[in-house]
Amino acid sequence: MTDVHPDHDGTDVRGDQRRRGTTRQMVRAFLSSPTGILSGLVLAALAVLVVMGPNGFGSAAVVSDLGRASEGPSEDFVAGTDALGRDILTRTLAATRTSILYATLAVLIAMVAGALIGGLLAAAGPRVRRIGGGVIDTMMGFGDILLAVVVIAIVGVGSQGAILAIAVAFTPNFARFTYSLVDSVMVRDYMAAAKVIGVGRSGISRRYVGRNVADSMAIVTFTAIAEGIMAMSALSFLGLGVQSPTFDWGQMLTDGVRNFYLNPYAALVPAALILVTGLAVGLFGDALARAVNPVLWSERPSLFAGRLGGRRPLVGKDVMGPGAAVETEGNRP
Amino acid sequence: MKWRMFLRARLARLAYVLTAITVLTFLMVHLAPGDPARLVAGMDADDNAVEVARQNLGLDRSLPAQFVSYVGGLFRGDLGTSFATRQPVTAEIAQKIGPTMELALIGMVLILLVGIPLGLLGAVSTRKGGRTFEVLFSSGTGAMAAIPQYLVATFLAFLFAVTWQIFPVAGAGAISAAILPAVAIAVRPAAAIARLVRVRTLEVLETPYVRTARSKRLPAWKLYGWHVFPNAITTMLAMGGVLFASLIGGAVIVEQVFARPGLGTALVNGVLLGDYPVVQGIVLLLGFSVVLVNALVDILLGVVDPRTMEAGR
Repeated sequence: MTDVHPDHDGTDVRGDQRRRGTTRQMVRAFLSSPTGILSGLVLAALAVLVVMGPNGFGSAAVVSDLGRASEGPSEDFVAGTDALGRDILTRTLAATRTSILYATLAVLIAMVAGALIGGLLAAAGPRVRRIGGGVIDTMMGFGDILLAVVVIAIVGVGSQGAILAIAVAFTPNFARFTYSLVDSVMVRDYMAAAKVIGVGRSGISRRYVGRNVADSMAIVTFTAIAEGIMAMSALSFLGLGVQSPTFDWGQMLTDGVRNFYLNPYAALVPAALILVTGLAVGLFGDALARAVNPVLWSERPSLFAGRLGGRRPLVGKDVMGPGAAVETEGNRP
Repeated sequence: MKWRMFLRARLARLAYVLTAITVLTFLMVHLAPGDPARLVAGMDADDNAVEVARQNLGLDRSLPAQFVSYVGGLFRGDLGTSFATRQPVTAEIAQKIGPTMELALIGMVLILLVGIPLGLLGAVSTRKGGRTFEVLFSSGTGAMAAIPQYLVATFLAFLFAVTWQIFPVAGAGAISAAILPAVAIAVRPAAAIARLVRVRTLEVLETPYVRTARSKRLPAWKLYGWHVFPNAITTMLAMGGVLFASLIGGAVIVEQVFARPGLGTALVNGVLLGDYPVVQGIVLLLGFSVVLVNALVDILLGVVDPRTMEAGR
């Protein structure tokens, strides 16, 4: 962290992606990107809703008025009511906590498990690496929804099952990411130097690998949480996730789609909130990636830059700056 | 020689992945809590009836014996009998596969017809310095590539089925009912493909052989058709497996939005009802097809671009 380059122009550091700026420079870089500020504001609003939770709205989110079921938007109900006459807007806002917290929990479990698996694989011998890599690639090949449905078929329908399912479905992504990240750090010159001066195994993994991997990991986790929120809602939407009386956006979407002709807003409002949350978390992660990577400061920030589809092979030396990190993990098209 | 080794290694990997999937789907029933026999016999059945059901299901035998008969059944095309409908699972799948295949095929065509030209257009305009188009392209495809398919489906259904009433919102059968869901599952992969094609084309445009071709004053259509496009297309092919999995996964959810009676709907219902034979059958089918497509893509890539063979499989 002592490596300060006050007058860099972006070209001289290109060879070394991991050079750091000061904290103040990072904050300034973050604040200079409009998407960062915007997504930060959205996240702050969502955080308030998460803290408020379903009970923060009193009984307004759960009280039903069957006499006024499936109404369109009116003065009483801004986005209309659902099939049981509950206010859509209030209910959607009240569902924020469940929708975000469960997904975040699942992704964090996946991160820990994936980082462990990926790190161990990277340290293992060639045979184990090949087999492990094959397993990870195959799991990723299925796509997260199919994998999650299989897990739910085994552990059972419900919130816990869905959290576990998303965790399992996201673990291979983290494992692969950690694997290639550690792999790319291992071949750097300073690693060879550290080995020459006799730094032990634990010292290497903590001081050299861990520290160099941590920030990329944090950023990738943001992108994964964005994906996780959308995947979790997808499971609930299929009826495999959160069960009544608990409710989340995915479940509301199911009810809404059933009543599409009566009040389309019953589906549109939760759908919009899933989308806004997913995009805001993802963009916040991107802005963070940009802020901690001095190489990207001089480039003009553009909306959605660095969110590129496609996968890199597990074997191979990718240059893993945080920007590249977002690219690898970012989206499964 | 190298070719033969590559093929052998790839087929060996294919074999053990298929084995792994078979074992996993077989174990699914045994890993799940609860007793399938009780499920079949009914919740209020007496112990005797449950025991009979267990024998009928073959669950009273040892695990290896069950596995052998399961695999034997697979080779005969017998995936078991549905707990819910008492029909053979193969018959169930045969009924439901049509709407899903229809979605996947139309989706694939849309992805290729929209994604590739859009990507090429993006690359060409970037080279010509079209700044506005570049920004539009990258933010547009970036946003598209980030929206999950079921949300696209919801928004499309609102616009085209509810507001303008151009397409039906539910059902299967008529081709018009397949259009909206197919578009919904195609948007995200198409955007991802377009971005990939653009980046790859720009890379190819920087290579020495393209510079040479330019210096020979090759006409533009020849340059792009013979030199740029074939070299950029291998990336596309490499994406083929991911693309297929994304179409399958998308179809599973999007069918639910449009209430289409396809494999996805059958899979979800199977999970909800605890109808393990159906779940096993569909997971096996989808899993095998994804893995086979991936293997096929790798082998094709080896043929088209021998460099990928050496990339250590």
